[in-house]
Amino acid sequence: MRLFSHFSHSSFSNTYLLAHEEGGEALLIDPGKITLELIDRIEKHHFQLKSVLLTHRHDLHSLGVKTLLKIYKPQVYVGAAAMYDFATIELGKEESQKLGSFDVKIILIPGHSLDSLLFKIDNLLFSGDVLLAGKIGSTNSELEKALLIEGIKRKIFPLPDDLIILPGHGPLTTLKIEKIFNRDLYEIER
Amino acid sequence: MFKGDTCHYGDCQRTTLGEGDFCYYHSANRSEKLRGLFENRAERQVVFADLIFDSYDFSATKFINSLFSRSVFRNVNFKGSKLWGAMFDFCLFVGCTFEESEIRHSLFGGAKLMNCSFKNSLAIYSNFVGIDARHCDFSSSDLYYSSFAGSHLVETQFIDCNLKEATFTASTRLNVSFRASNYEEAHF
Repeated sequence: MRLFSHFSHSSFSNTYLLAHEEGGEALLIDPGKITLELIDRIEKHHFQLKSVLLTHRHDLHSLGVKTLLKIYKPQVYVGAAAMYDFATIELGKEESQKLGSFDVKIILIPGHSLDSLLFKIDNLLFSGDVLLAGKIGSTNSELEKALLIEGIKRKIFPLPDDLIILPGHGPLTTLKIEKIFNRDLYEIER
Repeated sequence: MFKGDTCHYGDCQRTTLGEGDFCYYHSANRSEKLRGLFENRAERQVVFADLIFDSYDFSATKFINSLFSRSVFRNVNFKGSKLWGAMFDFCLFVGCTFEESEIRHSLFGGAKLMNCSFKNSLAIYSNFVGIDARHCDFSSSDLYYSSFAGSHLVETQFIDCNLKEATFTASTRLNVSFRASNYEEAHF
């Protein structure tokens, strides 16, 4: 499996392209902005873009989908279909699903937004704005913050320590680093 | 700079070092670029976890998506190296230099660094979360979008750095200088 990371200088957000092999099936996570570099990457490797996964409905993570749909015909998977004005497939349940040829474990952790999803594929966790390097996603209230922290501890902490976390913004991290050094996660306990 | 070409000597297929056309074995000066087990292996996607590196010279060497987790580096020279997607989580670095190196999307989280220099380096989009850095120097470096959240920084210099979108939240800082850096664009 091959992973490519794209950074948008206009939205400061990450888009991830995951593919099996040269010319194989690919999926895209959080296309906030479609750049020529990203299209070149798909075309150069002859990837078949079959799926787009959106971690949540914020423009920085989903604005590029409409552009993408003019070029490719992927299925777009989201947490809450009603929030989008293009055709999507709702992933309402927490379970492992086969999206195209990828085995994806879907994790729902509200707090940053009500529809926040995380996608675990092999030892990679695409965490959107739920969990970032050294911090948690922003929230609008203490209640949402508590909900977010509780969800991370209950659903992510039991996963393996060497899990690589690929957030929607900023650098990658690992679960072990976040467990030890992410002080946002322990703020309420203090 | 390392080009990744193969040695021009006969049918030798080893990787060239530095600006030269020949590998370590066939270069004119046969300087100690890489030693022991690691000769000619330090290029792409290596896995060197849980090892001890003492006085190695990895200058101008390119490591892509390489794993060095929990290793110990003492007096190792990474000057001018390219570290793209390299994993140095929970490593110990003593007296190492990363000057003029190009560090992208790399992971130093949980590492301990003592007397290390990152001067004039490009250390962007990298994870320094929870590092314990003492007497280190990041001066004149570009740290765009790198995170030092939860780190413990002592006698460490960030003079004349680009700190745009860099994160220092929940970090403890003792005698740390951000002089001439754009720290107002960072998150503290």
